[in-house]
Order: sequence, then structure tokens, then C-alpha cells
Amino acid sequence: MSVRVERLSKQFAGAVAVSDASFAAPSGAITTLLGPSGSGKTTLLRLIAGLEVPDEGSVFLDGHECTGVPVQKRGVGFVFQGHALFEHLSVRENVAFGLRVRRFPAREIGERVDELLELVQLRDHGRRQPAQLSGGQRQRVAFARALATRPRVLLLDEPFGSLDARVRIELRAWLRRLHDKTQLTTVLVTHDQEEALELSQHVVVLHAGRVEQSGSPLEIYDHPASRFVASFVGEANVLHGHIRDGRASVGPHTLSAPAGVREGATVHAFVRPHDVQIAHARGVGPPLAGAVVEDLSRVGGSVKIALRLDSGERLAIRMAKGGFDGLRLARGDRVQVELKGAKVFVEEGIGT
Amino acid sequence: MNASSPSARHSLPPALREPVLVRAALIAVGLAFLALFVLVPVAAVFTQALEKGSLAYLRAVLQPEVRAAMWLTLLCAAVAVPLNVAFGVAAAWAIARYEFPGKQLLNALIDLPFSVSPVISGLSLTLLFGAQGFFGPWLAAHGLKVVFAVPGIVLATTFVTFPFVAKEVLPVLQAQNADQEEAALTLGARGWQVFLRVTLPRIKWAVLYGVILCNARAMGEFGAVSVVSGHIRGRTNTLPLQVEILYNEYDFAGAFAVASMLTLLALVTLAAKKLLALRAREVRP
Repeated sequence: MSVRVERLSKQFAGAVAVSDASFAAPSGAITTLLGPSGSGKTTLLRLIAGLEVPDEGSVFLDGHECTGVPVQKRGVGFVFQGHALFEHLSVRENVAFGLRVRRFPAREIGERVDELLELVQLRDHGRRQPAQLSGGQRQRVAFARALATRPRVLLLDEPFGSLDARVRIELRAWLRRLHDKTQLTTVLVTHDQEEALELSQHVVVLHAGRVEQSGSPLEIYDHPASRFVASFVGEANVLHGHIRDGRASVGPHTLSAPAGVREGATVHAFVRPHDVQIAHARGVGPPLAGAVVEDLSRVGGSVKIALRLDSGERLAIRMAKGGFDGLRLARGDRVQVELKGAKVFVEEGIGT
Repeated sequence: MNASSPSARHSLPPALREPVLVRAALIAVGLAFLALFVLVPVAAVFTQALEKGSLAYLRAVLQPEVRAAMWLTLLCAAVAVPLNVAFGVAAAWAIARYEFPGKQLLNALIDLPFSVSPVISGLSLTLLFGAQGFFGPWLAAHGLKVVFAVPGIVLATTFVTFPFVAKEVLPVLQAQNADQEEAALTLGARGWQVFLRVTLPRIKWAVLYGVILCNARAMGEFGAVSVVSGHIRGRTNTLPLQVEILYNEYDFAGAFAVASMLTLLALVTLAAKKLLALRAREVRP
């Protein structure tokens, strides 16, 4: 079932949380709402669930408007960041809660709870209290509880946000498998771009309550629609330059620029750390930018290299260990730098 | 995790431990104070009550006036406690969960019966419901009697005891965020189901604790009840008022016998409170 929101706006005591936001989450896919804290992503999710009422705009579930439908009748499953398990109930009773309040027959409840505990691999933990579980187990109970009433949409509010890094990565893979099994339309809120790019088929980038870009993870990463998206999603270096003869001139590099830009306008070139090629400064080749190696650090299988360009700007690059070993670089070496790819944004307004 | 286990919680870091002498002195002062102001008076009540023998004691507590006072006291508690549970939980819920105009005022008003002398509470009821009071003529026209009658006593008791439940429940509700309740909503629970299945279990111990305190005060209240009672023997005297009457009549054995019953009720309440506290700690470590 698809989720669509149109022109949603929500303020809290005068502070804008969501502003004129529209997007669609495709049926059967995981859609991520990605943004920094305060970007309105959680509010947007709560608006979809019906936990908040929008000031303006509409929510559509499966093509039907449900803006005024109370949360109980929307058929959504919600997983909270802090798991929000009922501390006074056992794991089984937590999972059974939604079925009990809907007065399902006891036998059916028992079967469904068994099925779900199996699904979240907690079959032997039914009699425990939430306080006796680890953080990852609690969050899995929260998933089982949300799935028990067979929701049409699963809404996840930073479900792994309060867990430590290793558990988070494990649960990410687990959620991926769970989704492969259930094929449930899922909307996931996160500020973790890695989580967004890894888990979802569709990403909506939010900034200050507005939708900045909506598309596949690759589109977002390779073709960011704004400076904010380019800097927020993935690591990026920013180099500054100007428009000269209709092209972006950044140091000794000349990059293509959007058509129709004003001569002299300021440009910001976003360069991914792996889109830079470096070579020792000995060879004579095309006009490359000169730079000095300021720092080197090995991180697992790759190497981070911090460069200072002759223009004074800094560039952080990353390369595989194999390629690095061939270069025999040391701190203080002079190198030449070539940009393999860059995304150019032209600043609107008066250039220098 | 293990650092917060019960045994570790009681041992202070060495830097905070006092010398043995200081500790002994502090404990001695505490115990002496307790003995002087609590144990000795309570013991005195029971000794005085039983001074003329157990037969006299039984006769004193079984006389019709005392039995009537006992029933009235229990009636007051039986009305005031449920009313204040309902009001206290509702008020605490509203203050903890909602923003509304007058919230600060409500919060301050809950404390009013604590901060105002009970005598003034009683007088205000007389001003409202007495023969010359605001509602007096209307009540008289309908043949209703509030002041110097049972309804007035129940009202006064309810008024002076209304903060107890609210004051116990409010901090517990404020310390919890609403996410379990929201989770219940997303799972399809209606408002009353959320309250009965999620909210109430979480504040259960606070409510019970409030009930016990409220009950203790309801049975022991003197000042406000004294003003509205009219002291009609066998009809509008509660146990505390009965004690005063007997005492003023130099029936010391009778006065202390009735007082000992009140004290027993208080001790039972105290024991129940202690039990609840232990049980609550077991459930929520």
C-alpha cells in the first residue's frame, strides 16, 4: 500500500516543524525520511500515523485521504525510537496488546503471537519482562508488537537510534531480511545517511521542515539537487571558484556548469573523497592542482589522506589500501590532484 | 549494571563516610527524638486507655456514641477517598499531559488544603452552606441540611484530603513520557483502553500510596470537621471529635480508649503503607 502526503504543514507553538512537504512512498518498498535533527522528519512520520494533526495538507494511504481518520483506524504499525514497550507486561502480552484491545479470540491471539515471536527470533523470550531484554531484543519485540495487527504500513521512528553501533548494523541487516519476507510498505526516519542508503529503495531528504529531494539512493548520492543534499548525504569536499566563460573555474580546474549562469558568479564544487586522483608531482602532464600531503590515516581497508591545495583549500580524499601502497606517499610530499567528478552549484545573487 | 544493585547502593564511597563517633551521635539524636515525640506519646495513649482494666476499656469503646462516631468516621473516609482518587488522578493527568489555560492555577489550588488551616476550610464551608450562607436559603427551601449534619462533615473531610492522591500521582506521571500511551493508540486501543491497560498500571502504586495517606487524614481530621459538625452526640461526631468531648468531660479513660482506636487505625495504615512500599520496590527495582 502506498503512502502519499501532500503539502503538509505543522507548527508547534509558532515554530515550524514541517512546511509544505509533499512526497510519495512507493508500495512495498522501504522509504527513508533522511535529515538532520530538527528537520521535521519525526513530525512528518507522526502526521502520517495520525499521532499529530496537520495545520494544512493531506495524508493519503492507498490513495484514500485519511487526514481526519483517528490513529486507531489508520492501520499503521509504529515503532518508536525508545521502543515504548509496556514495561508492566511480558513480551508475549506486549505483542498480544493490539489483538487484545481489538477483542480477537484467545486462540487466534496465541497463534499469532507465536508466529511473530518466531519471526523476530524471540520464541524463548515470551515470558520475560521488557526490562530483562537487551536493547536490540526490546526493539525486535517492538517490531513484533507493531506487526501483530497486520498493519498496512510500517512506520519506524529512528528504530535503531538508541542502540550501540554494532547492534545497529546487525539490526539493519535483520530489518532488510524482515522486509524481504513481509514486503510491507515501510517509512523509516533516520538521521544516519548510511542507514538510509543501505536500507531503502527510496529516500526523501528533509531540511528545515521542507523536502529537499526525493529519489532513489543512487540519484540522491550521484545527483544531489541542492547544496544541502550534496553536503548532508555522503562525505563531500567543497571547493570554491567562479564562473568564467560559462564554465566553473575552480583553482586550475575547469568544470562544466549549468547553462545560463551569470559570469563571475560564485560556484561551490562538491567533490566526493573517492572522486579525486592523486599522483606524485614529478611527472609533467596536464595542468593539475598542486597540493601537499598534510596527514595520512589508515581506516580498515582504506586510507584517508588530508591534502592542502596550493590555493589554501583543504581536500579530504579516500582510497583503497592497494592503490595507496603503490603511491608510497608520506606526510609532507608534494602531489598533483585531478578531480574525476564534481557537482557544481552556482550561488544565486551577486558574484564577486 | 552491578554498580546499582541494592547492596551497592547503601555503601557510600569512603570519602563520604563520617567517623564512627559522628555516626553514632547522629543515630542517637535521631532515635532519641523519635522516642520522645512518637513512641512515648503512643505508649502513653495505650497505657492510659487500659488504666482501668480491659473491661472498662471495652465498655468505653462500645458505648453507642462511640460506635456512632466510628461509623461516621468510616463513612467520611469511604466517601472522601474514592472521590479524591477520581479527582486526583484526573487532575494529575490533566496537569502532566496537557497544556491548557489555568493549568498553573489548578496546580497551585491542589496545594490549597495543605497550606490553609483546616479551621478556615471548615469556616468557608459554613459560609457557603450555613443558614446565613450563600447557598443557605436554597438548601433550606429544599429541606437539605449540610452544615451541622453529616453532608457537611463529609464535604469538609473531602476538602482537606483532596491533595493526597493528586500529589502522589502527579510526579509519577510527569516522570513518564507519553510514548507507551501513544504506542497503545497506534495498536488500536481506544481512550479508556489506554487508560485502563497502560496508564493505570503505571501509576498504580502512586494511587494506592495516595489512598493510604488520604484515608489516614480522612479518619484523623479534626479542625475542619469540628467547625461544621455542631457536635451533636451520636450523630455528628467523628472519632477525633468524640475524643475531645470525652476529654473535656474528664472521662480520661474513655477519651484515651477512643484515642487508642484511632491510633490503631493509624498504625494499620502505616503498616499498609510500608508493605506497599516494599511491594512497589519489588515490582520496580
